[in-house]
Amino acid sequence: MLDFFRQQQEARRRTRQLVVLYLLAVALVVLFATGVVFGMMLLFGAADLHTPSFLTRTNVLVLSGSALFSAALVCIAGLHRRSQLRAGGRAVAHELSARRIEPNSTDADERRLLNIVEEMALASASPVPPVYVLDDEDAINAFAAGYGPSDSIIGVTRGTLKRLTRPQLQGVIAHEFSHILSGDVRLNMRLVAMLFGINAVALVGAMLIEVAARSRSSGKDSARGRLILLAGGSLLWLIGSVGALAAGMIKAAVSRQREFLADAAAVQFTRDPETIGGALRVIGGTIGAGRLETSHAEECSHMFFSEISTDWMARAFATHPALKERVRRVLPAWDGTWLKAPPPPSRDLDRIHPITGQRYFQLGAEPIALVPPPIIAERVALSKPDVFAQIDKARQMIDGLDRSLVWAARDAHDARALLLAMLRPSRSDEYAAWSDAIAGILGAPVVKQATELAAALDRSGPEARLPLIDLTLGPLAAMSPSQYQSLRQAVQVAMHLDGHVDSFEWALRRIMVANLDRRFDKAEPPRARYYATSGLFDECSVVLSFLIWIGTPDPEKAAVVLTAASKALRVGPLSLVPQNEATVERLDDALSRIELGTPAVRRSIVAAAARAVGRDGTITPAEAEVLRAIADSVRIPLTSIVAHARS
Amino acid sequence: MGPVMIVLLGVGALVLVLVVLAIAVYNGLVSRSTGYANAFAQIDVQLKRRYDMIPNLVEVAKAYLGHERGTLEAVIQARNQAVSGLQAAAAKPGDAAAIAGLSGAEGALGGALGRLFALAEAYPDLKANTTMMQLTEELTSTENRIAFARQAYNDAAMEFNQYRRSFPPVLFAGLFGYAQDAAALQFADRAAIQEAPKVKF
Repeated sequence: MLDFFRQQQEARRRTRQLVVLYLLAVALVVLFATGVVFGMMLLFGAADLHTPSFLTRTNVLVLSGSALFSAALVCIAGLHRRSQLRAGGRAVAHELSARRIEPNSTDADERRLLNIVEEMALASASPVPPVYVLDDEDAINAFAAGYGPSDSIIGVTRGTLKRLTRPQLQGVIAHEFSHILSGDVRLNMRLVAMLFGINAVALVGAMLIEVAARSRSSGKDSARGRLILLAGGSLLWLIGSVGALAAGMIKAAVSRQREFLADAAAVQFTRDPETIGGALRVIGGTIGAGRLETSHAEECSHMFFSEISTDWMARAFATHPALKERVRRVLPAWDGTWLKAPPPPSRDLDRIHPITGQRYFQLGAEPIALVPPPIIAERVALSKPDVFAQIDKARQMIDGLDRSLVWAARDAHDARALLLAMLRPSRSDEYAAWSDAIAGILGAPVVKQATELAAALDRSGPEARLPLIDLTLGPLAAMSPSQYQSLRQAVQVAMHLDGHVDSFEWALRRIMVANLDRRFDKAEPPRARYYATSGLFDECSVVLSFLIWIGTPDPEKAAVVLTAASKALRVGPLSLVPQNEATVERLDDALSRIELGTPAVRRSIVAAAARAVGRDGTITPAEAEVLRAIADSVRIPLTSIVAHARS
Repeated sequence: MGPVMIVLLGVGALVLVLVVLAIAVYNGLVSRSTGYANAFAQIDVQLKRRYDMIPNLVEVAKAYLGHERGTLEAVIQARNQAVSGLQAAAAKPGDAAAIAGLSGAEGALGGALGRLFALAEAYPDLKANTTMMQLTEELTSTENRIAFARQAYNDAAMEFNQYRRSFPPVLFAGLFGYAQDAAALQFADRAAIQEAPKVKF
């Protein structure tokens, strides 16, 4: 069981090889298509080979024209598909006609699923994603969709909701989280888009054949033309089809590697191979278990938890490895039996008392008073090996939070008040300005509610803030764009009320904007402009200095920590920005440039930041909040640092 | 290449573009209609909460207003109407008739509740009853939630309508069974209904 790290490395290496192969296949198709188009032009007399020099003006023009035509065809078709796919997780869920589960649902099955998702999100320091259910599907299957953690959603079928035990469901959700956190969805979108492009070549070929076949005009010239069209069309069709076949096979192979990776990650997240193994065995024991009814499922087949159709096509095209192989990899000692009838799910962990809102199993027991500090940040920064074995801690953390705050976080309407309650000024003579500002933008009821929640927040201490923010991010995704704009404006105004933005206010706005802007405004993430960390020397200095000053006011200590962090970044000695110059404005500036780094550059900077924070062996809530805000702003999930540090 | 060929090629290209476009539009329509259906579910949850509270409210009021049977029964009747209105609307979110029905039933319920509260003004004991106070408070907060959910739904419905009427989709929308706009849900909040009679004076 503990070789899941090695399994993940293996899957990553295989993926890289396959992606190179895939790009090669795409390039070959473009090249051949260019040749065919040029050949047709040649035969139609637009180009001429019998000139003293082949590189006449016309020939070069026609040749580049053909190349451009083929490349444009592949690109346009690919881009079109991509623009559809990258509309975000919500668009995909809605295309599948999935129903959004209300985050504050009290239905037993839905609550269980939502709890599992919340625990997993908090344990992996990522925002809680919205959860969807396919009500008409009795099969056991699940999917994740979205471009990155900030716009992802998780969907499950009704069968998954009803027929798995809690640990099995946990395994399935952990598997889907792995897809989100390791960027599989993004990778798949790119591959699908290119595949669509290659298919377009075949489609044009088929069209040319059709045109040639239907042409009614007679005469020698048109007969010749028809022949050329027929030959060219057939060739294009052949190239496109063979290309699509090859690319499709490679894509499926990539997909299978990612499934192994996600299965291994599920074991890692839950520290229990029986979770995912059990779910797979239930699917194996149910006839047609993964099968879906919806017609949209086929094009999204790669997203699902298990193979969606049971009429097994050639193994080469399966997007998922054989179930037996998957079970054997997570449960090496598996006896080969499937699970027939799953035991009725035990709901003890998730039943809640209708009045107190406490979980039943806790009634009578002392509630866990201590809220552990934000778990993952701690683990990452202190480079503890058992980063992921934290799901139980996440559950304890949620249970330890004030009930009124948790339920407020689970409702879009109340979550707004909760965020603004966190921004209530510390001095009571500034309350009036705070209330007026919020009332002016969101209305008086929100102020009333925020005031009540602020009192509960004061009792809870600063450790509660980050997990609560994470809990709000899923429910808030249900707002309409105009509602989000109002909230964004209210947060902006509230944080500037006292003329000074402290690190928490800054972090709250950053985390909110980084995770919600992409849900409402489908702007493409910016193109990479910095390919080496050395190009971001000053920016690294600002970011690390800011973080270090939160941890220590002592310049000597700060210098030591910075030196250590610069070594890790391998950019030469960074200069410590004086405490009074390490402002949030400069931090914003620095992040907007770091955001333009390649993923590797961004990841190394976030890793250095995590190391700087964890150097003294403890992490304060303020440090965790800023670290999280930095990671979210530059789109690097904190978990991915650990995963990459090991591979 | 004869002119006929060129025309045929052009037609072929056009057909290809149309097919791709039609698929895109279909997906766009499905996606946006699920969008407002999901937004309606939020209203549904809150309205149900509200309807569940009303019988309790009436039960409490009965002890003090036993002789005002008519008003109490009107509230219950209006509530039951609203429940069936909600069921019809939830079965077909966005359907103009169903939404109008719900809207009307909600208006009637708001009016009946308004009369009940106006009546309660004259009974300080009832107003001071803890359960009554709690229920009134809950009712108000639920109404705020309804207003919030309703705005999200109306925004989603408008997004669908705008998309449906925009240029390429308008050609296909009818074909795919999306000939009708999604209806926006409008109803005056109880506060507004209560204030309405004052305007007359």
